Amino acid sequence: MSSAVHRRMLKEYMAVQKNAATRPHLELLEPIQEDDLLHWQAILLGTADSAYEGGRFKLDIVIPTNYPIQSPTIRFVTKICHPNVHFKTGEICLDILKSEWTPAWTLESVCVAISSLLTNPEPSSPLNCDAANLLRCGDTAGYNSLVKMYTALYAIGDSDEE
Amino acid sequence: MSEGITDPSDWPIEFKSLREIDSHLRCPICKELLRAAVVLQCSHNFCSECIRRHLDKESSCPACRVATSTSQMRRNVALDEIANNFGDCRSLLLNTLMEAVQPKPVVRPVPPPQFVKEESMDIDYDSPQQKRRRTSTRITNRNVSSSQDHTDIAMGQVTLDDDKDDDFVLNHRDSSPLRHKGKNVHRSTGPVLRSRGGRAEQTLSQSSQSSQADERHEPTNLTKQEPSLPTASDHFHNSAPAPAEVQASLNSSTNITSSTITTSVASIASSPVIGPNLVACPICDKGIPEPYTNTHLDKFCLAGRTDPDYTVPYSLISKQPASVIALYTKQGTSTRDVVPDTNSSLTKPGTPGRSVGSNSSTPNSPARQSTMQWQPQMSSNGTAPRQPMFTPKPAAPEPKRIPKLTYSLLNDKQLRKKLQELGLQTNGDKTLMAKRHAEFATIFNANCDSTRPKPLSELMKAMQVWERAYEKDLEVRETQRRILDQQQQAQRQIHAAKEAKRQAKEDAAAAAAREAAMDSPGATPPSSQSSNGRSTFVPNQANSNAVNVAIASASAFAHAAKYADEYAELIAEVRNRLQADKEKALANTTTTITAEPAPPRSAPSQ
Repeated sequence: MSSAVHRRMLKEYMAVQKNAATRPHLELLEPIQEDDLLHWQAILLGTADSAYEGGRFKLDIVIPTNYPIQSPTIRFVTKICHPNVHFKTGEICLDILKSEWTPAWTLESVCVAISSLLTNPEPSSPLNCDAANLLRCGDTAGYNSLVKMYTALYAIGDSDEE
Repeated sequence: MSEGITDPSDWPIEFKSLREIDSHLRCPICKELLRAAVVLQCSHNFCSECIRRHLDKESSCPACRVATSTSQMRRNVALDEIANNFGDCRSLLLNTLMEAVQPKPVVRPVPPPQFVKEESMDIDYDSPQQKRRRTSTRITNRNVSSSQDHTDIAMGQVTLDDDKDDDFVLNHRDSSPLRHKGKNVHRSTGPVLRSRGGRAEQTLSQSSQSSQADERHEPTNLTKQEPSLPTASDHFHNSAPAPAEVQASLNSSTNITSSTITTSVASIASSPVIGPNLVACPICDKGIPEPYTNTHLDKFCLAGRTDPDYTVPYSLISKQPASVIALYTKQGTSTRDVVPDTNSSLTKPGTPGRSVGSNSSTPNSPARQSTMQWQPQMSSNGTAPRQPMFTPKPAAPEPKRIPKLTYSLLNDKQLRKKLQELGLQTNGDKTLMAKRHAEFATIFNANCDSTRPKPLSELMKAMQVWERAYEKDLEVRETQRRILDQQQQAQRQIHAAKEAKRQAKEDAAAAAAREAAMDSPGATPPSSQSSNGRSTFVPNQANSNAVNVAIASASAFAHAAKYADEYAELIAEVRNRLQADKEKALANTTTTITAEPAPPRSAPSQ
């Protein structure tokens, strides 16, 4: 059972390395330690023209032993201001990580999904009410400046300090 | 398939459709080539095991989320066969393609024997996926010497080297007019399988391991093939292809090659006696007559050419009856068109698909596990097309699947009994037993869906592995829980300590305030003197603040002994506030009375 996970993770690792060039917003996706394939990290880059531009957002990915059947647990390590991300814990509210997970997803595709979640927030199911309220009130400018501030505060520059 | 981590992107970019094929033959869940492919109502295909595991948790298709259930899935036999065979020939095909795409400079000028060796090493090394090992992978001199470009060589390899290619070979034969001889071969290959004396033994035993049904084919009928011998050789001579033809196309060459293999095999197998004068060439491994050795070496092997007369590997020819060897040593030309790696096809002649054709010669071994009665009739190596899948056969009943149980409705005893019936362990609590039953049901039922089912013993082995993994998993989870508990406890303690400290600080502040309030009238006569010039509370406030801060910092220091790091920040904060207070008091007093700042200065020094 667990060997199946390892096989699959190894496979994903190799696929990730091969596809590295095709995903501009995913700077890094790899196991934290070479000998532990069940604990990964990823670094998302804020897309240009978004409020997250220039930010490097670190993700922590924990893979369960029955992985493709059960979804991985992903959270933001870097503090990020986003309606669907808990500001303190970094928990992500994304349907494909919860109810809509299917084994056909891969870590790579999930990371891409999270990356696109950054630019397409879903304020109706918020984990960060303040950010969501701004959006719900239609205060895009306020929201953007808030996001920009937090991005500048946490995600730009100090990325080396983990 | 235990080692190689494969991916559709392994294929060169030029062969996009191969990538497509590869990716479509993969299970979306495990990303491996399909094993025991099943199709759901929505026509998505998965490994039986993977989809069963998924459907245990959720009843929807992983690819399109359409609601579905285990009962609605069907075996996809054809796809499974395709995936199996694709997996068999994948690495070789890949190597060949890669070489064709980026030709190595070595390939062309190197003389055949070296080329041969390098090739075989290459392939062995690069095909960890293939369970069966080729004894020898050789290329006939015709192929090497006459091929002028790499593609040709590559084709030659495909045609000749790969034992997996025998799958094609056999298929072709099936459709060829040689059918009756095909049967003949099955019977005649018995001796080859049984005579385990020479260098081919390894391969033989290995191949018998991998093709499950080998033992069933051991008893063979030696007499039956005698009548057809002349026909076979006749055909052989007639159909012996010119070298050019061999390379003309992949299909035709396999076809022709197979027919020659068939016939030659049919003609040589009659009694297992080792030829006396035959030796193996130290360079090319071909069987050659002993007196001819030096000539062969000088003229061909050392000269970089291949001997057109003696092209059959020693390991193969030495297994043949003396009469055949005599024929071979006398007139090597008789076997000139026999492709050397025939032995790879010989090692697995007992493939069950063909055995069906000759029922009399293949009695079922009674030793076969009783519960795994499904026969790999259509199981191995592309022999399936020969026998239409659904010929009315009394044998091979569809194996009984293990029905799903509702574990909550069973008590321990019943569950234990169920496990016992299946021959599983019965230890552990109910949760473990239920999980064990579910796991076994999954892999057993998945195995039932396979066209290459594993024997029960392997499933049992898998169960043992699962047991160990489960135990380990439990342990890990236990440790994780303990660590989490400890962390929570520590946090609670820290929180409590903070709370207590805050409390103490408040108390101290209150007490100090009270004290200061009591002290101020008598203790500070100068302030009372000058009290008209300023607000009366200022000196008191400054005093009380100083005392307050002093007490707080004292208590903070006490805690700091315990949680130095934890409170370093707090202490700093307290100090800062102290400083601020001091300055404020100073400012206040300077604006009012200059003599005032004495008491606050003394306080922090304690």
